[in-house]
Amino acid sequence: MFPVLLALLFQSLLAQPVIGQAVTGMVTDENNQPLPGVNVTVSGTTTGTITDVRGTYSLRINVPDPVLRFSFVGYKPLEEPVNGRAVVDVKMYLEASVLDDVVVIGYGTVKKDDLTGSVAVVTNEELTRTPVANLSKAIQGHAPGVVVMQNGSPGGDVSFRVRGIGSINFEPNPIYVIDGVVGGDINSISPQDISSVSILKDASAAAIYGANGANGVIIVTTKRGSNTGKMKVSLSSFAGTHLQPKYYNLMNADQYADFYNKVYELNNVTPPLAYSDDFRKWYYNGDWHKGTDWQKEILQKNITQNYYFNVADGNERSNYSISANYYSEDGILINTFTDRVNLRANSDFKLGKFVKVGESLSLTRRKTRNSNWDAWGMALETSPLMNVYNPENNGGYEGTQIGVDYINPQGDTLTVPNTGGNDKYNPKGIVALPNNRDYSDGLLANVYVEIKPASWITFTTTPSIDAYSNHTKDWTEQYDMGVRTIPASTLSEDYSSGNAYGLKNQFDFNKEFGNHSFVLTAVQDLRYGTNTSVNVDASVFPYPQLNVISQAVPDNVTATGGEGEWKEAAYLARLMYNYNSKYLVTMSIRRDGSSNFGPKKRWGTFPSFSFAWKVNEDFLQNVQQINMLKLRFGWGQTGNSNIGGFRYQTTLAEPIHFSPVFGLDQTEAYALNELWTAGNPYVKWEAADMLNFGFDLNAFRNRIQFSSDYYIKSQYGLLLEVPISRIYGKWADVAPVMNIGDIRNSGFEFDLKYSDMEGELNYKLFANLTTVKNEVISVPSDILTDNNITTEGHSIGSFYGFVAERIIQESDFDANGDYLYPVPSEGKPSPGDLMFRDLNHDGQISDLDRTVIGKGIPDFTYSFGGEVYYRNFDFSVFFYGIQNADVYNTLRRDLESLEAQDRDHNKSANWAANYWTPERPSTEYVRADLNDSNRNTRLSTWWVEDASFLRLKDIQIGFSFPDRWLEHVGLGRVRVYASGMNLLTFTKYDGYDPEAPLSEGDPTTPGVDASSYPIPRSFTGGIQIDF
Amino acid sequence: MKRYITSLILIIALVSSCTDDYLQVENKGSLTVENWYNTADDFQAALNSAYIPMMENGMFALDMTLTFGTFEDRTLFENTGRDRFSTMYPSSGDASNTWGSLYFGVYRTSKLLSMLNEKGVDGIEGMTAGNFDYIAAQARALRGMYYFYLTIIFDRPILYDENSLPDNYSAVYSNANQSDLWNQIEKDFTDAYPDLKLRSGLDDAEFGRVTSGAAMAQLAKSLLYKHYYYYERFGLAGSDEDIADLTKARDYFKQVIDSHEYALIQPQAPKTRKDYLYAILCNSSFVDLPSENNIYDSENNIESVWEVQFGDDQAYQNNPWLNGYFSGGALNEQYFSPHEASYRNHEAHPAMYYAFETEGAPAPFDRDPRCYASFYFDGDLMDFNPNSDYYIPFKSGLNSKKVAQMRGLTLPAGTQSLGVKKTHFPVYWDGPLAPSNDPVNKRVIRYADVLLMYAEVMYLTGDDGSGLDALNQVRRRVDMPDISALTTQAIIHERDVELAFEDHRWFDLVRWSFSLEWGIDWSQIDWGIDANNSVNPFTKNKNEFLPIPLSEINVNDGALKQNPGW
Repeated sequence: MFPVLLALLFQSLLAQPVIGQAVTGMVTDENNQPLPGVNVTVSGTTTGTITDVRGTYSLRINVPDPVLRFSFVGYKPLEEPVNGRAVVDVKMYLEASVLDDVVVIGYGTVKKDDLTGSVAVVTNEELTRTPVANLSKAIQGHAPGVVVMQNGSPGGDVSFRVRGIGSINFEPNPIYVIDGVVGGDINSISPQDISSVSILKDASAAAIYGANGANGVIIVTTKRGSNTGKMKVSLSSFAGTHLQPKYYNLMNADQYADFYNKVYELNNVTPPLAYSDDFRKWYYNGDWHKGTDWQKEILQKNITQNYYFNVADGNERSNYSISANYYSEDGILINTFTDRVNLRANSDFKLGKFVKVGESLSLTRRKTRNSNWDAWGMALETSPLMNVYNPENNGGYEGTQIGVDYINPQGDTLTVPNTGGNDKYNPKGIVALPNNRDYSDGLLANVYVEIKPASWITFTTTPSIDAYSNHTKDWTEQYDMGVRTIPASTLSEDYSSGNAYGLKNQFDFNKEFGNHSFVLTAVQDLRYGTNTSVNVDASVFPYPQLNVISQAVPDNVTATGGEGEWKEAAYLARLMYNYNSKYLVTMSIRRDGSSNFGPKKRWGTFPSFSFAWKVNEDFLQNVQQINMLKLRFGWGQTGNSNIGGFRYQTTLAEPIHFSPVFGLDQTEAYALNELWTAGNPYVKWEAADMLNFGFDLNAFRNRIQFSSDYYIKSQYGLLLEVPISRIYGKWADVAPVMNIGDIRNSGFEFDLKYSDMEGELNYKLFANLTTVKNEVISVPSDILTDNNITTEGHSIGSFYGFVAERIIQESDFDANGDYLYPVPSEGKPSPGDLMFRDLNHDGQISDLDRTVIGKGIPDFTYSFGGEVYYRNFDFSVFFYGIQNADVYNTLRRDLESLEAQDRDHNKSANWAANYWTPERPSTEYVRADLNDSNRNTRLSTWWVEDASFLRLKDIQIGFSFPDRWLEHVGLGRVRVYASGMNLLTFTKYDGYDPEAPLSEGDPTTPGVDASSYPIPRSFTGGIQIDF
Repeated sequence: MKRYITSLILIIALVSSCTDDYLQVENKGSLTVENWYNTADDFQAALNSAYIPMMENGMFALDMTLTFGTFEDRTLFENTGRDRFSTMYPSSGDASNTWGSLYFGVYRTSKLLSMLNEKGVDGIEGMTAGNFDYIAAQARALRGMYYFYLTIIFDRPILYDENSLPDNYSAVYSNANQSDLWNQIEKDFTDAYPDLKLRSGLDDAEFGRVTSGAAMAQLAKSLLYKHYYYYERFGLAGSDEDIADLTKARDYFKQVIDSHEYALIQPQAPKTRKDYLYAILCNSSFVDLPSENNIYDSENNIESVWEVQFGDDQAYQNNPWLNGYFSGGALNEQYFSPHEASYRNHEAHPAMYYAFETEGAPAPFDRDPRCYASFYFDGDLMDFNPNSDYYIPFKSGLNSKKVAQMRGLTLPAGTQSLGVKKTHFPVYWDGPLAPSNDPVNKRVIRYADVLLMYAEVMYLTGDDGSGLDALNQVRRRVDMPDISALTTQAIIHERDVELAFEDHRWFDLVRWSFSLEWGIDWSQIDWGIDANNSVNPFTKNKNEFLPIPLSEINVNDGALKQNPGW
């Protein structure tokens, strides 16, 4: 008895260990190798340690019923009750996310390890780490091969390029597949709702989308409920503010008046009285020496906020996830704003043994208020002598060239235009007065029925709908701003809506025969879309407080509208085969038809093939450091069917574009003619051939993950509006389209991730690099826009202009005053003008001396950063950069030159102080003269700048509340953080922001900074709570 | 299991059938060429659209004034670029706008004629033989007009007609021969005028359509121009062909004069100052002008021979600046008028003022009355209507623009600039902004021009006295004394003062310059450019013509040659 009792007592003593008891043990991996550096803590306490190089640890316990918690990056966390033991040895297993990660690909999923194509995956964690507006912005820098450029407008669009620019006339945007449905607007999705994003980059992956895949495919999968039976509630929120990143150094009022007085004097003209000290003192309401700083006047105080709520629950039979998101952002520019509401409900139900049904439903409403972005440029040119406000004017703002009755010191009353020769807008009035709203609603829904009659066969049918409606309402109430007065209120409303209905029928056969594994997929995918639009312009509102169309004077209402439809059909088959998960082959073929294609080219066929080999399983089995080394090769063909409708028909202009008048009472006569499109019945998709070579390497217990790809993407048969002679009587910008262009994009992609920990410090590092070489292989003739050229051997939309050698000095003229160098066709230059290079050596400077002088497409983009976790703190930095892209800085051009047209515009203070004069023969700044016969302002290398930049995109510090703070309030996790975005930008670019102009313009006109919305600096704080 | 598979097969069969039909969708937004050109209405609509190129910015809506009106020596552009031709180069928009507008005209007329030929009267629903010929004649006359301007502006443009309509986009075209171009112009007008209506035969609703008088006057004008642009320029003056063409020109002018369809608008008694001015100004105004006792008809009046119509609707859109491309009319008002908010790009060269004779001027004038119809002087009222916002005095130097003064030119006493009054009286728009459209019809040929061209052709062919009389008719209208002898100087002077600022001067200078006899010395032409740019901007054998647009040279792959010097 006693020994028994003693044993019991002993046991209970062990079970209720003495405070301060030591526990030791060893942590090993699944191969029984010791794991050093594992974090070992006693649950619910701050007691903790890490394993040493032999994987052993030692701890003192001071709580009852202790549970040890083992955690190590890349491994599944483990909780082990001590149960009185003095020695607790554990084995840790690699985290499933590394080994068994499933990647969503087109029409299916595949184990990440078994991928044969080039697919970039961005996780929810990466997407939501930086507090940004939308998915496109969140992806920037996180997906090698994808170049995202943005401007700073609230909710503004971004340019999203997968592996270069492969279309000239059509936005080379990737297609979006949201929960299996093609369509939708990814910028209307809440980033927090997304579980993962897969970007199909090479053709072997994207060819499954055939005629829609040439510009890449972005597959978005949203969160669904888990089947664990544990309800999860999450809340998160952030709020922040944006700041203007930079200002130009402009002349203040004194400098401005002084500058123009001198310029007028140089040209033998009496300067306007408005520039005299007396007048300025009399007129200006404020510090008349400084005048108005328009760059600051156009800005507003702003706040950005985001609230996200999600509930998810589920069990073996059914699950759901419901979320709501509200996001709002004020821009830094007055009257720019966006907000967005998202509701989402995803659910799945098992019906009996074979059938599963489910749905994904999302509703979005987005509202945007857009002001006149030109304000960025206007703020530079408006006279600083002008007052901001004038209560006597309708609208309350001062205008230019308002005649004011001024009594001069001699006592005469004179009518003087308040701004002298400056006749620009009041930049503040022009952004503050109009009320331009843009509402867009979206519904994206699909329902699926999955029937699985046998374990190896699945049939799924998915009807879907993608519906949108947009409404813009631009209202400008009548205002007076001097010469820029709007004498009548105007209202312009546009309604457009569309539906795309889809039906997808899919079979999957999944079978293994010994080491041979087969997945065969066959799909039929049909889509049908309609769209309709109505636009109404109205002006003159007797009661402007009623700004609805019906209140306009009826004669001043005009309406237009249209309707259209389109259809697509596709059939595809794909076989994925692998032998022992070692040799992997994927083959697919898709046949695509579209109503956009000409009647003679309705269908296209798009094949692909890819192969991967896990080399380490054949050769490097003994090299334990290497967990996986996989070589990949892929080839495929894809197309771009987004070529507009009915380009195969020769159409007549709409009658609204014509109205000659005849008769004594000048009556409009009905007129029509062929003018619009010149049809081409052979018009078809733009095609792409892609080759991809890559490898993936996981090493050092998967701590290092490295992958690299090289690709060549040849896009041919690009639809070009063939410039035809105007003798065909066609409208110049709606020329016939033919499949004749040819472009090649090629490049490398590198992606490196590293994670490790030292002591209590966990960290992850990442870096990636994407190079793109964009080259026009053939175009029927050069495509010239104002500033850009698309010509063979260069990037799309390269800058086309003159080579400016230097500033002409007096020594460049001989004793007779004759200029010693080639003379521009416009006339003899003067000292202080730019000397242009006579490239064709014909002894004169003419249009023939233009050449390619830059390009708006960067050679490479890169990003790097890291995250550090220390106890409850986390810290991260994220840098993003681009290299070798150019921007034509028209703002600087305007600020550092003068011609008659921009007489009286404000200018750079630096230029005004340093411009070329005979006494001050500058080599950096051209002369200031109203007569710019040399056309110094023409596009030349002088005004094209290197826009390479490296930017600290995000720096963030977070703090997660310790568990013991939360236990009692029932919260699972609480994290607070502060983030600073775009705080630092390293660049030689002189303008507000090098990135914004690169994001704008169509593919053939990238990189012109005319008035781009700069990306602001921003400061944000946020909180994330899980219940 | 089996039933699943059966139902799946059924589903597939159902959805995959007839997908080719499935892909067919109708174009709900536009008419297509294939299903048009069927009815008389279709052809009428096509004809109406063939008039539009005249009203385009590249032609009479803007560029005729903006380009050629500033090239001439009687205007000063606010900056020297246009005066110096330096805004004109092969890639400049002005060249391609003009080229493009003119070929819109050539294509539409030729396409229309080819479709008429293809369908025939009987193949067109609702078409009558008379209407068929009338439509064809208008199309021909319009095409003759478009080719005339193409030839005098671009020298050797591309030539095609309804039988050689361009339809293959990969074809390349080369420059036409001048003789072929001139023959085409002559043929088009000669074919056209017999089927056109007389001015007096037009319905009120038809004004603005080409009349037989207009076609004939333009035909004669073309033959007169051909003498210089072709015969004189290539050393063929005095050849039998030249004489024959001039004789034809003379006869056509004479036919127009003798038709009595047209007349000079005369100042009515009692002849006040206003009567003199309005008898001139009504030919470039958009509203009838009332003097104290009389009213002077303006648009489509009896003096108007060829007039491009611009609607009077005040097409006032969201942006009152630089808008209104098609619908209403020209933008001249916005650029050049003395309106407060106009750019006021133009100012008159003071030399034009001094060109008006002082001797023999009728009371109360100290100078040829046409002088006071041509300029605004400081203090001149800009409207006749006391209720107008523009019943206010003209004031120099709006927007600090006093161009002549800036360039050191001597102005008449009492004014700091000379505003252009023709086409800008009265100032059209009462509002604070210049309108987006201009209601003023463009008189391309008026009867005074016909008389002066007749005088010129008589001078060239040997005057029987009727030439001198024609010129003196023009002078007598404003009671200026007759001249006694028809000389080149008399003709140059009379055209200068009578047609001031009506965009004739540039083409007059160019065509006369091809003939030594007329003594046009480009180095002596005073463009009024400033001291900084004193070098003569004109390059002989280059600036007479515009460059062919670079884009045309490019697409025609070497076949189309650029004009010399460009």
